Amino acid sequence: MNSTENVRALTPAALALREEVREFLASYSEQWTTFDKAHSWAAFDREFSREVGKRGWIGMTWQAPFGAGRSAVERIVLQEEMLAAGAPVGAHWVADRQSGPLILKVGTSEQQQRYLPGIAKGDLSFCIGMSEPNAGSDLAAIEARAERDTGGWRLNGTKLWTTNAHSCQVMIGLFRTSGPAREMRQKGLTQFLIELDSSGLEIRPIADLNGESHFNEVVFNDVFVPDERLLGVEGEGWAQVTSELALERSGPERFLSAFPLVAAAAKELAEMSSVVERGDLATLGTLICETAVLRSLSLMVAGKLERNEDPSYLAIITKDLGAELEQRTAPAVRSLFERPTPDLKKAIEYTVKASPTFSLRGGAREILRGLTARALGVR
Amino acid sequence: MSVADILLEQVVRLYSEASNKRSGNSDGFDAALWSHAEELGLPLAMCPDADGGFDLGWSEMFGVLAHASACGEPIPLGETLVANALVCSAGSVPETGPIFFGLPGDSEGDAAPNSARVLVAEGKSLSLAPLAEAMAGGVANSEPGSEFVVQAGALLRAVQIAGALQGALDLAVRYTQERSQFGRPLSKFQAVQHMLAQLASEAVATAAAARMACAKMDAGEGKLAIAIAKLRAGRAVEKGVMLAHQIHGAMGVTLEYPLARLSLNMWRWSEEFGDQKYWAIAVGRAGMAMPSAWDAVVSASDPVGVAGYE
Repeated sequence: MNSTENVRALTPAALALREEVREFLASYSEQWTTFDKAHSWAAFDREFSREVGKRGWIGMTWQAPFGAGRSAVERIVLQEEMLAAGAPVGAHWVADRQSGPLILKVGTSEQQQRYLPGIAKGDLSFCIGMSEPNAGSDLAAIEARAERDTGGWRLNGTKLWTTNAHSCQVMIGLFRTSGPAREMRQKGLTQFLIELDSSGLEIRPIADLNGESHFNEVVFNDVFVPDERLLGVEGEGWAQVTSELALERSGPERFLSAFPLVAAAAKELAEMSSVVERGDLATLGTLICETAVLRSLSLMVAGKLERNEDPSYLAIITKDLGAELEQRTAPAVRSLFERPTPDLKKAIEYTVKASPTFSLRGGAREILRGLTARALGVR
Repeated sequence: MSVADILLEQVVRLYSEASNKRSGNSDGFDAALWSHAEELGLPLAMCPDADGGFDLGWSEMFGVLAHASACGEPIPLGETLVANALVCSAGSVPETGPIFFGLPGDSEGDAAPNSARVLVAEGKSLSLAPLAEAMAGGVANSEPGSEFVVQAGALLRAVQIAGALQGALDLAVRYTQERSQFGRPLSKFQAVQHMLAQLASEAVATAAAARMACAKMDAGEGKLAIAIAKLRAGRAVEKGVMLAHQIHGAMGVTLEYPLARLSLNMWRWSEEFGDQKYWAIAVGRAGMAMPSAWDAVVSASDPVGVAGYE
């Protein structure tokens, strides 16, 4: 507990950005139903992403020529406003959060020229090719292989739970480039930039509890990838993926996925003619409390990143507690109304059915708790 | 190093020496530690220079308050600091002895020096009464008429609960590494590791909430952040104390083991200056009074600059 955490106020630039984003979102919010907003960062809307891109809000922390070099905290302010409003950010979320930064960090200049401008415009969407049928939490068990061929590599295997693969143009996939999985584990893994119109590649949608198909199974049948699409260093895939996962775990989407329900519920309660009961005020107050505390934590994580300190302990705790809050939100909001409006009811039902994934995506709860235990020195 | 950092270093050293000297059941008042604290000028640290203090704010004192609490609050340091700050801000002259927010227990009261006082609120006015005269109890047992006293008390309890949870976590980590069952240390069991992780999460979240509330209080905009911090702290007690005890097995319920004092403190503090229900309703009401629930979240958690730390 050192005494210098979380002690800097938001900069005038961040506060000004917040106003700009709120103004931008206000023009949309009447078009979106609560059901739409409940989809949050699962909603894929190319036109919306292009509008966001036009304002310089995708890849905004990247240095010129690809971005405006704005601060990590400014990006958080942007992200959280988008999430709180339930904006459909799914078409640019993954590329902005992790694919772009990874390409910027380890990609060749040709790769950066080829992909980053399209990402920043909101034209190019990325998906993540990590999990497989036999490798979920145990990512080091992946079996999909890349073998050398003239001028490039041949990919074979299956990636699973690939969100929005059917709407994305590029996957960053993790493949085994040497040795068998059982012996090599974290070694011999390599990342590739795979353009999803390549031949031999098949994308099969998987219907989820909501009857929607964000998830996909992506099957590789001798898919050819040229040498210049290898991302980073051959055999260094594990280290690259780990740094990517740190980005995937620490953002405000880890506790705000269900927040549009809270905002809608508070609005409906305020509009009701009857006096709001004490128990209902307490339910609402508890949801606001938990959200505010997680926001403080997430801003502490951003502060640590800015000071080049390791934020992983705080980031993992934020995600673990965030998923718990997100999963508690829909039933809590439901308890506030005898008869919610049809739109809110639909939004609650959607969130209930989406909520099992909240404590799975980006690292299952049990994996996170194991990481926290390791940080405590007991593993 | 800032004054606050130097003070924290001294407090860590003092409390550790005092804990080595204390033996067994620690539910009393550590008179030796108190006189060392007085020598350091600690009791007036949050009073202005003119009153003989160091003029330190809540953010600067967070580390000291939390650490003292993690050690079981063997002297009422947090209560004395805050009571003196309140007395000074009301224009009165602070006293030199330890100050309790409520009547201390028998063994604690007997060991306290004659200079010990209880902070008593009558309507909006505060006074320091000798133990024998404070029959009605102190601010922690009554409904203080001043919102500012409630806020200061609630914030102190939130900070102290954050410290006590960290103290419980430190004990739990050490205990699971030392204690073996089925031929291996408890810390190697995944079920135990996950309980430790959950306890750590509660400690970290409470500390984040309390730190935020300290910064907001220093900036003169503490109301909502303190409500949130006290609520989060109370919720963390409900979950965290049970986890700490589950991890410790029966050892945790013996009065001799330091977790006992931490647990008793946390349970009492979560009730004082507004319990979970009280603050949850207050936060809910505040949220509904704003244009959007998001505005409540943002206004309670937008970071504010803390003097001395740029």
